[in-house]
Amino acid sequence: MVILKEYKMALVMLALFIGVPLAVNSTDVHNVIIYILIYAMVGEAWNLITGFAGQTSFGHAAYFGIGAYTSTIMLEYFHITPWIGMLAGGLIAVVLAFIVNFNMFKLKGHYFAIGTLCVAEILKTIFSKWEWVGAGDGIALTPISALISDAPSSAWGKIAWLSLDVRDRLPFLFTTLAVFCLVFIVCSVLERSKIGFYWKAIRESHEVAESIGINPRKYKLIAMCISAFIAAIGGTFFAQFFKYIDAITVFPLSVSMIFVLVTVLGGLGNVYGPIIGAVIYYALDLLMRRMTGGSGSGLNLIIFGALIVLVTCTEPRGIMGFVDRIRQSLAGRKKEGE
Amino acid sequence: MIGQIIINGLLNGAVYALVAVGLSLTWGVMDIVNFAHGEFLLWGLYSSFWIWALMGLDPLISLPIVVVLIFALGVLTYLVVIKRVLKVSGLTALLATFGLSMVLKNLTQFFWTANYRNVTKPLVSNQSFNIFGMYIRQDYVVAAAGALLLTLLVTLFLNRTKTGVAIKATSINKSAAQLVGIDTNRIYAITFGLSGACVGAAAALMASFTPIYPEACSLYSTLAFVIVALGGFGNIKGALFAGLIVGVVEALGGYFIGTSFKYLVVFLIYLIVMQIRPRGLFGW
Amino acid sequence: MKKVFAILLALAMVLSLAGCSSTPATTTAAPSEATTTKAAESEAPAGDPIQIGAVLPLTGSSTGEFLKAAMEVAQDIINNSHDLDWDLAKNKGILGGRPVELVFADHQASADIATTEAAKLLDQGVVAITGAYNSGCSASVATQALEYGVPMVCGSSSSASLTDGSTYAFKSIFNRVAANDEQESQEFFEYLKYLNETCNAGIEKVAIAWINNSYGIHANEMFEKYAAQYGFQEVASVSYESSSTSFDTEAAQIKESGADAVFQASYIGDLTLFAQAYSSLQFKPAAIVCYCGGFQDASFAKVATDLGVNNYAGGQACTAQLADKLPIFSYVNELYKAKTGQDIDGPALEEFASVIVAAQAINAAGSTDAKAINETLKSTTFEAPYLITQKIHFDENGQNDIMPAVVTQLIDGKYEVVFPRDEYATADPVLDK
Repeated sequence: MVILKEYKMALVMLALFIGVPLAVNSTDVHNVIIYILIYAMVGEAWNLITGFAGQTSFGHAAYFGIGAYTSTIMLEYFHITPWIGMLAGGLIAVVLAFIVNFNMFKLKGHYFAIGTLCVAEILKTIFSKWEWVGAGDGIALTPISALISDAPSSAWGKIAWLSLDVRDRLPFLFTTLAVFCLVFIVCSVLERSKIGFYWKAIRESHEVAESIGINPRKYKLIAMCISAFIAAIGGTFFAQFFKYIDAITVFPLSVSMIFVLVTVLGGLGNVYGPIIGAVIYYALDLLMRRMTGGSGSGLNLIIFGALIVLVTCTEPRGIMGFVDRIRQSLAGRKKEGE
Repeated sequence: MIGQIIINGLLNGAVYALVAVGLSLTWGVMDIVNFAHGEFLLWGLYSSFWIWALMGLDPLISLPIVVVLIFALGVLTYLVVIKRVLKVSGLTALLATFGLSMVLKNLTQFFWTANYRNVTKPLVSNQSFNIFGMYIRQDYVVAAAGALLLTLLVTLFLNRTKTGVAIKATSINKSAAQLVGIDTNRIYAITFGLSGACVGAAAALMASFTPIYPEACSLYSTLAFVIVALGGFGNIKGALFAGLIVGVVEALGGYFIGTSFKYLVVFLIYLIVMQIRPRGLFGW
Repeated sequence: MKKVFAILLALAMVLSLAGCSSTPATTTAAPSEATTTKAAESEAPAGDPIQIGAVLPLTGSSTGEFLKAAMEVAQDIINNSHDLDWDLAKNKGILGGRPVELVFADHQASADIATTEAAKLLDQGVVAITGAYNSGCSASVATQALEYGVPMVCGSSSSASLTDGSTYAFKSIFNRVAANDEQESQEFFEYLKYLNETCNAGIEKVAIAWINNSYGIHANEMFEKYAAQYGFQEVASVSYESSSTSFDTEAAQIKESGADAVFQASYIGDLTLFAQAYSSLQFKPAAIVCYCGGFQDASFAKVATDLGVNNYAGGQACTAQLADKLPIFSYVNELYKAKTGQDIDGPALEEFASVIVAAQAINAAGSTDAKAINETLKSTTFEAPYLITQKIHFDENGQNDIMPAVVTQLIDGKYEVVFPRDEYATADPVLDK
């Protein structure tokens, strides 16, 4: 019962994520929910390093892209299922994160942030010139039935190859949801663990953390590696969902920024932040696109941008800050009632 | 040929520097990452273009008008948006400026479509002087000279005027500045305006040789981030030299390694330099 | 303040939820409609519209609104009766009077948005899909269309890889109107040969500057292939990123190579910067030949006039100078001009053609069944009185194999047809030395 109470919000959200796609049979809604889950997943990853450990990264697209490319190449060239590909991509991302960041943490604050941005931009250039991975052409994923002759043809069967069935998106959606839940649980557990405590200590004060015997670099590296692993898994889902990747869709600054935006919009340093931010961000994005899109005037993006400004100006702590306040005022009222 | 490449790099770098100086002001003084910086530049370009197209004034002549316009845009941005997010984490301000950048960029699309526009027959043409077998573009020289001059002016302003010193004081310690009676709110508004004025000037200098369209400035802002960090935050001199370095590195890297890799070299240089000087070339 | 915010936020949330629930309301209805049309198309009343999807870069770095206008002209010609010597224009609608309805979507020049927007249209039940201008986006739209088995008629994307039959898996449903880089390369080298033979141009060394994306990579590949085949010496191949702020280094490299003719696979912004850089380096090759792209943009004509150069040439499906020779093209151009205020250019005419061909294929197939349309597309030769070639035919990989482009040269700000030297040539090539 205690668990139920504590995770009430998570359970309500889970119910919504299962219920809404079942109730609403629309490509748009299914697509947007998959979008939300993928970006929230990477948002959770970003939240570990930035929200908990306090190191701003503007380059998470690097790990996201590595995940997308690794699993796609393994599938297309070697016919290995993305379930294995995503773990391989995750491991490569961890190795990369370890090497790149081994010496990077001596940079502080914005210097570090720009450094991460540079890493992603460098990878973008390399992948856009590397012919084996399709260079500027990118890779279009072959439909699974054409690629693997004995691949199952049912929507659920295709999940063995993590392949989206365009006529029935639900299996892919629920698979993404399941993996997201796993990520969410891992992040919640980490937050409450000793490591999570160390991270927050480092975030609050580097010096104090050091003085109580925490090795900041070690724990920042751990955060970065876990974060890179999760981001790579998100990348794998992205590739399987869009079925087409190239360097400028997975590595640019604008992609890194999406992870920042959904998390900050939802609430930085809060495990619910990324998912709430992603829901608001993509629901609004879709709404604006459908209301005014196709006109070519950019009006949808103007309204969307203005809404972001409005939300940040009025609720600087993100949506979760707002939720917390409502909770508090409700709790206050209850007490009064008693 | 190498001389030619280096000269072009330096001239380009001077314009980068002016854009970066603007960013450095807000980032260094207020610790605000202004994601809409590139869009300020874009609005500067469009202002230059429309003054030229409608009134026949060359961008170089209308420079003061554009500077004032983008200064106003900067102040307005501060008063309407930034002021409200100052108290919380810097990432929230970043989110706000990101939203603002979407609004500003797509407004240009909304008003003037995605068409490419060019200022034709500018006052200073793109023809070159020929010195020691090198071709030196007149428009680049004017832009670079203007950029250096304006950077110098900004430095002088910060060091020699009362407001300038107040800006510096606020950047070092906000509460101490308030204690000695500096109106930090006003200082911040001026800083944002000044940052806008810098990009406005950069836009006017660039307008005659840059195709103008809604996506025109995206790389400029990314480079400006790297330049500011490379030079050291809040350091105008640092931004200037880092801008020149980035210009030259880009040109030489493109020439020797391959033009597709020219920005890769810039980003790589940043990572290497930071290993040696973690607070930027001119950071303390 | 806080209260105001609370209200606003609540409003935003309600709005977004409404977005989730209102959009499905329309889209859930759409697939069922589509299935009924498919099942009962023979009984469908005349006048029931046939939906054709169009995914275009309406916002972002490319100029999609002109392409959209061209497509709308095509829709007008199909749906309304026009006094032209062309059955499709004379008759109202297709399949016995059913109008065509274009459903537009904006991919913002980004391949991932192209995917979801295409999926949305396909789920709505569009009978065919057109677009997407940027070669990379066309590939992602076609990849989606393949999953649904719905035919795609692509207008202006020019990357050879789209129809090489091996890079992508979608050749069964994919058809492209525009000339690809391979056909263009052949024609360009024929043109250079002609210049050497008749005008003593003395072109031996050739160089190329290409944008590093799907379009540029394959232009470069084909350039290299045919340069060797035609006996020209390739002296430089310079690739660049589209987002670059200047192209002085690139231009200097090309100048240094000593090329007599330069090929460009560039969009309008980069081509403009290249032109300025060449001019400032006082570099004047005998010919600068452009693979479709930015050369066709009317604003480039202004740039070239401003620089006072006449050595730019490139592949085009049409030019306004052809109006006298092709009455139906002239008529289309007038309709387009009324909408946009400018003459129709190559990409716009190709997008126009993509809608026309899609309608012709549906009409010829006699139904909206995807399989029948796909077969028709690959087996029929389509009437195209608005093109110099008069005809469009797709080979097994979906390439229009009746070369639909001519070489035009920008002479004093006008696109003149200079090659091939047949009845459609409007001027003689000029060597600007």
